[in-house]
Amino acid sequence: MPAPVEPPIETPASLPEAYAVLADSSAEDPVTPIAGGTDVMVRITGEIGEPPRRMVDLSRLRELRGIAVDRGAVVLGALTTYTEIRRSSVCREHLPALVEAAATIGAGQIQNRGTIGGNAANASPAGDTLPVLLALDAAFEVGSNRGQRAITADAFWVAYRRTALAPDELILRIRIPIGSGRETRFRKIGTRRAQAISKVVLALSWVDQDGPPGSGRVAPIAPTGNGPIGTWRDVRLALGSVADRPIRTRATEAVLEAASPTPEIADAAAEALAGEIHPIDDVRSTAEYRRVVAARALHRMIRDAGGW
Amino acid sequence: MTERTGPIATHEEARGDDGTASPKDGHQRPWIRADGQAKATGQARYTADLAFPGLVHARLLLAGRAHARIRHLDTARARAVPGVLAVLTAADVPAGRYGSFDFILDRTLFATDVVRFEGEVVAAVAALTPEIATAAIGAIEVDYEDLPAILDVEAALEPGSPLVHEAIADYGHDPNIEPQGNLASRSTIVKGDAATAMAAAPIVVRERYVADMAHPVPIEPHSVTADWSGDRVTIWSSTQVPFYARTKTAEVLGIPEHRVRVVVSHLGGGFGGKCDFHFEAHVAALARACRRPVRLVLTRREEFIAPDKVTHAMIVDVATGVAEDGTILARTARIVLDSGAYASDTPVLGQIAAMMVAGPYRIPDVEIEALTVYTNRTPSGSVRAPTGPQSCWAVEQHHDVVAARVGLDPVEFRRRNLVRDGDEGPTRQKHEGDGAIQTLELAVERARAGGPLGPNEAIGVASGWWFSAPGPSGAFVRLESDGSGRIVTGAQENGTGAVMGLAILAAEELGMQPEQFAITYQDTDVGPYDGGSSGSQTTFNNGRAVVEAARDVRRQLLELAASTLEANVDDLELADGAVGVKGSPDRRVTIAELASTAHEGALLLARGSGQPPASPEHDASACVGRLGFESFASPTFFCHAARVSIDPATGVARATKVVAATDVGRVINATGAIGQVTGGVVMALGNATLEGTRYGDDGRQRNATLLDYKLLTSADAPDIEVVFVENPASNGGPHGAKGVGEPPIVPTAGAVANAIAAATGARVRRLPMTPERVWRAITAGDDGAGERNGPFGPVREAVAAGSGAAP
Repeated sequence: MPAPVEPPIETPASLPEAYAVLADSSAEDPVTPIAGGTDVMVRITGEIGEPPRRMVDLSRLRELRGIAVDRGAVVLGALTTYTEIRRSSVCREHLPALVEAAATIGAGQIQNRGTIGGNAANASPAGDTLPVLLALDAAFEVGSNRGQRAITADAFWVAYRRTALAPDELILRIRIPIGSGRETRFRKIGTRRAQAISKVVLALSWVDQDGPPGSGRVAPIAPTGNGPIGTWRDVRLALGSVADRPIRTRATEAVLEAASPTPEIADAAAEALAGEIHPIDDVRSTAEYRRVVAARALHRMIRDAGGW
Repeated sequence: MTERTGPIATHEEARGDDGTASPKDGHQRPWIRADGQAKATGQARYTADLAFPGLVHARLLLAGRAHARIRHLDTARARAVPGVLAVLTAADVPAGRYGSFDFILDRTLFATDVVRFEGEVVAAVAALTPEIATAAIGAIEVDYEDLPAILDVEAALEPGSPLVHEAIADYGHDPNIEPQGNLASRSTIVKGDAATAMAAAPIVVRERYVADMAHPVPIEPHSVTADWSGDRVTIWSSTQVPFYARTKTAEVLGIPEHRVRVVVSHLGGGFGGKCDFHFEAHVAALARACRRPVRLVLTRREEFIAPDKVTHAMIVDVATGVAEDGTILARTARIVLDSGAYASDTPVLGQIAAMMVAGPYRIPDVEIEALTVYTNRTPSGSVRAPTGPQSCWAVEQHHDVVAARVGLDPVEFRRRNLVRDGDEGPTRQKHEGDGAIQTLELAVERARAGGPLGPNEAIGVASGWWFSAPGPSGAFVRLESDGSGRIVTGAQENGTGAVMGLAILAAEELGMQPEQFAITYQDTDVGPYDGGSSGSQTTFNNGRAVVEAARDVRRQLLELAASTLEANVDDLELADGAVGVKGSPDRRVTIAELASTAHEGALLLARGSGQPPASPEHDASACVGRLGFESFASPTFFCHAARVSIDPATGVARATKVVAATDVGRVINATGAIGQVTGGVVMALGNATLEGTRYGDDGRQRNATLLDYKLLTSADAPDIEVVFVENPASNGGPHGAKGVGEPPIVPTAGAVANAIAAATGARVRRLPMTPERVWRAITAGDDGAGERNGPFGPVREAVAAGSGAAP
């Protein structure tokens, strides 16, 4: 059993200092950033994954905190905690699906410590907020001594537990575009109601072409089943725990694009999804269960949206 | 019968069942247990919290493989690590094998030549810091020759199977069992001629049910600190059974018991996982070697793999012969228990499983055999109601299947077959009271009162029984000079409140309030012997001892008062903290006054040893493997009715309401009893739907962490309605009480299973009934009993390392 020995850690007081600590981080000898520690603390015990060799503590980087609205987007500092997301009036108004995802993570103590930047950087295929970030077309602003750049969510998770971040780069902020009548739904299927790792997690997002010009609030299109069923545009469907990374499912999106949430479309989309994803068997679930349950969950989301 | 439902009402009726006057049934009021505030505010100290000057830290080297021969073991490099004070292996402690309750002497303190499960202790280290101890463990060199891992209980019973214990024939064992090959023990429960009755039965239903291994998962892992003073050692241990731990420590270290003192600080839960003797002797040996106090605290992973107390993986093959009208005619069954690498206390649990598969039903002819089988898994043992939940889950589903076969409603089927007052048990013991029927009717009525059922929703019921465990147990009661009281007991408080509740019994006898008593407990040097927190026996046994001692003190008080008041003892009454002359309100003397007088001369001090009641009369002449559970003493009867809603798309079965009706004989401590039932239901629901150990085909547990072994949390807990029925046992605990700690975990899984089947038409014959299994039963008609995934076969591994959906 590996030694539960705490690796050396530095605690920079500013972003330039943090960049300096990270400057000699490399793939072979990485400096592991720690924020809330949700995942890193487990690695330090040596029981799961490789223990970090050396760490940089981000807790003093005020630049990475805060939630703001800026040029048609909600901007979340990388150190924004799940609790802050849950309590933020901005998030509750514009990003209810993200609020819902944040509320499913861990227990209250973990939500108080865990950060959205950490969830993204940890790159677990089961990360609960990640499909929401994909479905909302978020962009990551990242930085290092070498400067800043933006990476789209779509390009951020590149392989099992690997991101597009260079070894010396930090996530600074996450920009999530808002407005224009976008609707988003979130569903997590876990072992139990709280503190469970997902077996399947889904986020579905669309713009209702015929619906009311919107704030992006979650509201059924035709809650009573009597109203007109709109046509969906710019559909994005993202899933977690069904591949080596959180993924967009483009074939299923194509079925839903320019379509309406009718029973026929729901059947077709569910069938497309079951054919498009290739989950695996592991200690938490089986491939077959994940595939079929993901398809059923999508079907139900479309049904709820269609109000039938 | 008195029926009682929480919230608790004040209960004014006189006792009268044992002749002791008890004007106010004070124990039915909610009260605050003496250890409650410290525990709720985080001030309570548990074993790992205790501070010692000069303390050093232990760590164990566990085998990490299922089955292997040790070719070479070298600790030289570990000893050379700076800061290491001691490294021990089998070569450093007395040779000789031991076994739980001496059933089979198959164990040694450290692995000797062969390791038989991944958690087997190979060596132990003490060092200045936990980090150094860990480094030293890594420096121990072991050269293993891997042997085939024996993981399938049925294959293990085949002739020619490799053996877990090559030298089994040389092991000492209990004369009532015959260990042979991988078969550790065989017990039968036999009445009449089941083969003939089965052949003559018009309808026979045969089924197989399979349960996976599970775990007790106390929040506090095992922790032990040992410190020597001369030739005496004090061991602070997180044990449920301090006297047993003392006996075994003395035995394996070859020292007399009076030189070993076992002290338990507050215990952070046990659920049976801390029964028996685990690491006390390892740590004592380390402390002796380095002449410093040594502390061991298991990691959570170690807690999953090392202690020989996991919930048994079981196969239950059960058959019932039944008449067209639904009358049960005969029962045969073969139960196979996975004992794991060592026998532990499993042989007797096989016998209990056989009694449980017979159940509290009128069955004229019974033949049930239980086999306990060695494999290379973590050894099983007495986790809360050992074998009860799995057996009840199997047989109560079977009863629903039989009911359907004869066209009867499941409740009506039970009504026709459950035992009533005067009926015979499976070894012809005479049942007392109609508790089995009463709890059935109550549970069903209350569950149905919840309104109409929705789609995919149903109510399932399961009935059962569980024994009380008579045993020797002692206590002292004394009054201090100010009239306050003290109970000194050998009993162990494992969190249930059973020891705290002893104050209720003493107060009741002495006309005092429970809050007026202090309790000294959990120290083998101080309290008289007790069997520990196991077998639902604390109130049952130690309660009798406390009552006996308190009655003696009461007698002493009355005699003192008789002389003070110049009255006849028979004319006195003791109530509300004073002795008075009946009919003369002005002639009274307070207990405080009597106690202060007493201290000038005689002391108000008494002992009680609560002579255990005899087992009920029975006939076990046709049974083999008799280890003491041929009859169930003062059995508790119960029925749970679960209202369960199933999502057919995901297979998630969610209990929305559980009614738990239990005939506990007599409620002694209502707060504690309701707590036990509530906690039992929640634990049982976790066992029923979430838990279960997954093994790789290398014989190692795959979900030995709380990340992947999920218990139920309060967010998932249903509405739980607790109902008690009181049929005082004539030969039971205080006031006719029966055991209450274990029964509530027994029937819940069966009730949930029957609800799943009623709602979906699909029966799940594999425990736990995970969403995947429920979903497969619904969509593919696969009941799971043949699934090669879990304890009887390997978990399918990720397709390629690093491509998994693991976090």
